Amino acid sequence: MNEKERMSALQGIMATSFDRRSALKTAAAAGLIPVLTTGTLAARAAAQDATPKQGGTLVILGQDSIESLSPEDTGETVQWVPTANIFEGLYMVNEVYELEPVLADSYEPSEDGLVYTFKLKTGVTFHNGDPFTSADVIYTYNWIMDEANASTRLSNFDLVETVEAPDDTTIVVTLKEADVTFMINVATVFIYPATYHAEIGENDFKVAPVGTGPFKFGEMNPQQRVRLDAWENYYRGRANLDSFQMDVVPEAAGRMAALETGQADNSMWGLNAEDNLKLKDSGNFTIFETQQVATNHFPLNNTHPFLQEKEVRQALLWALDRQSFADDVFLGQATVATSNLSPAVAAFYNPDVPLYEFNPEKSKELLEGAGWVEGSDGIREKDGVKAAFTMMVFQGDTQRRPEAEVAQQWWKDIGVDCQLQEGITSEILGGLRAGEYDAGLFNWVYGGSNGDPDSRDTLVTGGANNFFQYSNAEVDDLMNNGIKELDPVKRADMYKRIQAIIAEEVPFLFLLNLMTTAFYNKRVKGLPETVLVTDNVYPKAYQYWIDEEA
Amino acid sequence: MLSYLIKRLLQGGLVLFLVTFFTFTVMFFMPGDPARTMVGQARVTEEQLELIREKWHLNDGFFERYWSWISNLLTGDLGTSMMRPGQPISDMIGNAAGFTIRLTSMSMLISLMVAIPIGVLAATRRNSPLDYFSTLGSTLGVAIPNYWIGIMAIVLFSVKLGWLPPYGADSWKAYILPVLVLSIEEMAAIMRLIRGTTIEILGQDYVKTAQAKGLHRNVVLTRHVVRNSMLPVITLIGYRMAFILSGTIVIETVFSWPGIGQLFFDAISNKDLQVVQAIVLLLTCIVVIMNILTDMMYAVIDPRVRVR
Repeated sequence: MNEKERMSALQGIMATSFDRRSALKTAAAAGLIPVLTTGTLAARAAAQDATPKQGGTLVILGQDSIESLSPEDTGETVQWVPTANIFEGLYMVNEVYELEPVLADSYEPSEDGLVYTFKLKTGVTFHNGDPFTSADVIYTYNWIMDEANASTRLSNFDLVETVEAPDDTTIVVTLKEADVTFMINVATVFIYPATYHAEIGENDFKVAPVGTGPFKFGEMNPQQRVRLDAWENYYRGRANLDSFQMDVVPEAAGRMAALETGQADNSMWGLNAEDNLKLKDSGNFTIFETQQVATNHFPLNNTHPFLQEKEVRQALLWALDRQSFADDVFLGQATVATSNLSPAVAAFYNPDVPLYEFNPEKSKELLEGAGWVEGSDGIREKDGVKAAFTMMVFQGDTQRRPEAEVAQQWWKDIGVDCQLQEGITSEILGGLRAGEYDAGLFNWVYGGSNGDPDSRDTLVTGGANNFFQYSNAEVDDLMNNGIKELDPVKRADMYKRIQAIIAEEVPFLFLLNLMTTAFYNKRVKGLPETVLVTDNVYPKAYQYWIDEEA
Repeated sequence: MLSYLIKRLLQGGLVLFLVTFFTFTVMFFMPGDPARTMVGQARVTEEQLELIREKWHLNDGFFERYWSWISNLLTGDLGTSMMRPGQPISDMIGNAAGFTIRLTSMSMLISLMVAIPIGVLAATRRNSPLDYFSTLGSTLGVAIPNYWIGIMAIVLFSVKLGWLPPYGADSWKAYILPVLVLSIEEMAAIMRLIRGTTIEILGQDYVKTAQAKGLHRNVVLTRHVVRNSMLPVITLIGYRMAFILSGTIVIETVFSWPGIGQLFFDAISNKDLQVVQAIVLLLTCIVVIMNILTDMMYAVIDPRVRVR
């Protein structure tokens, strides 16, 4: 293997990792976010397979090293999964996007939506024996809000004014302004044990974590595995499993082999599309198929001399046969996108938008109408500006690159010249943020994380992840006020309006909403029956059990 | 001899400096923002990112960061990691090194054990089926990327036959596939060399003389031929060390082997400058020392080298 082959093989691996990371906040919707009373889901799961057995190890595969088990470092799913079994928040968003109480028993928002009062559970202890009280919640929230700690979760607390504890079992959070995403962004934050964390500090805590969750830290070799062991004194009862283990297998073929041989029970990171089909056919797995909230898209620079016109962007979209991308590139494991939100976000999804079904004639009409006429070289132009732009593709992104190559041909047919150029992931993302590139190709979430449609950082003027230099006063207004609207019906209307505007203005070429497929070996019992987001199946691992005879 | 050694060591020191400085420069200017990687896709403002960058000294200038690295190094401190915050890098490398040393030394040993006898036999029996077989095998071994061989081996031996685990480093069974796959390229390279030199030596006058004296064929082979054909092999081993180590990056990724190669790959992906520097320093040291040792061995085996 020469140096060039070696590099391209390695880049292939990196590109695959990014794929999932960008689609990492897969979510679906429960716009109104119903609040469950504890136990409902446990009952639902238990009804499914006979009597739980005690013992065994659940083996999950990850694709990247597990460097830290601190709630600070859950940006990568591979670190979030074990962390979510060690720690708990006051509430959690479960696998069907319901808000479920964990360390809290209940919460009560004030009339104006500015004050939230939580009643905490009693009789909960941390893995080191310390009792859990409101002091731990105060410590955690204040630690994150202290700028000196440069917490990765600081942005979640943007709208928090004060956190107070009138007594050991009550927490009162006051917001600067009403924000309906508060419960998802803040109340789900994992709680530190105040005394222990203050004593050993965040750095040491990352490799010696202590939480209230069903599993306690066992062993850890970042490049190889993390093993968590059932915690005997868990307040909801000891887990059925003896251990929860995550093995690091960077190579997709290796994960596939481990699933086929039964050495692992599940892979939290995706497999190759053709391997998915093979495992589905085998009949040896419990399968959860969910729709991602991430959108597969071509972001466009809305300030580019050619791309700045709405008619041009619409014409580019009419010229694409997106169904064939779904069928040929993703082997049917995707659906055509309609706007910024995925149909998975059901309560906020707006299907009544123009659908842009493949129609090159319509494209030509639009371009003609906008004054773009064909030059001698077959490429359209207007006032000396060529109908041409350059699209950046991630180096080694063999999976998505065909989309760009085929689109290039289709656009050539309507007189538009698109050149492809490869670049490093972070550089392309940075360049698009800064408006230095014309276009790109990757997946990103434009609302829908944890079932909430808020996406202020991407679609609002000047947003940190506004890859399109897009600016629309009405969208800004709807997005910024959407988080303050307490009436769920009115709120849904606001986000539906946003989708209508995005579908009309096409700031980016929304291509597909991809599916995620999760496979569990049939020996794993007690799994939930309905799953809307596969990652959120893991925090319930304490309910699952292993049936070796299955 | 001593002055020769000192000269070589000084040269080695210069190589170390140049290689680490060059890597540092490349890593420093490599695009990518570790602060963004740390927050994932969370909604975050530029000010909040700036806080994270300040905390991890990501905003310090080129010379400032290089100086802090080199001054720590001179006091024997490799520094602490950013991707595993606060962890001493020496611990991380120590942890991973055992896995890589076992992997590389075993595959080097196996390569030699297989390649030397086959290479010599192929040379003495030219144009025999064994010769054709070894030539074909060594050509394929060099030509086929070990990345591909690795994946095929997993599919065959783990999935189809179920004999060996598809990943991990827990049992002796887990060593078989990575060690063998890593050996293939070495085996092929060594075999070709041995065959070539042996053929050359067989044509030498002193071999003909020995044969003419009526010495037994095996005695001629072991005393005269094999001993002399070992010379280039020793050079090759020193030289192949660099290839073996870069091969481990790929093999360790394919087989999820928790060694230096995977650590190196992770450190580059996370743009963890300190860890990358430490590993490059270590690998360069190994290659430099192997080269010096090779030259020394040469002098021991072949007295003519000493004269220079």
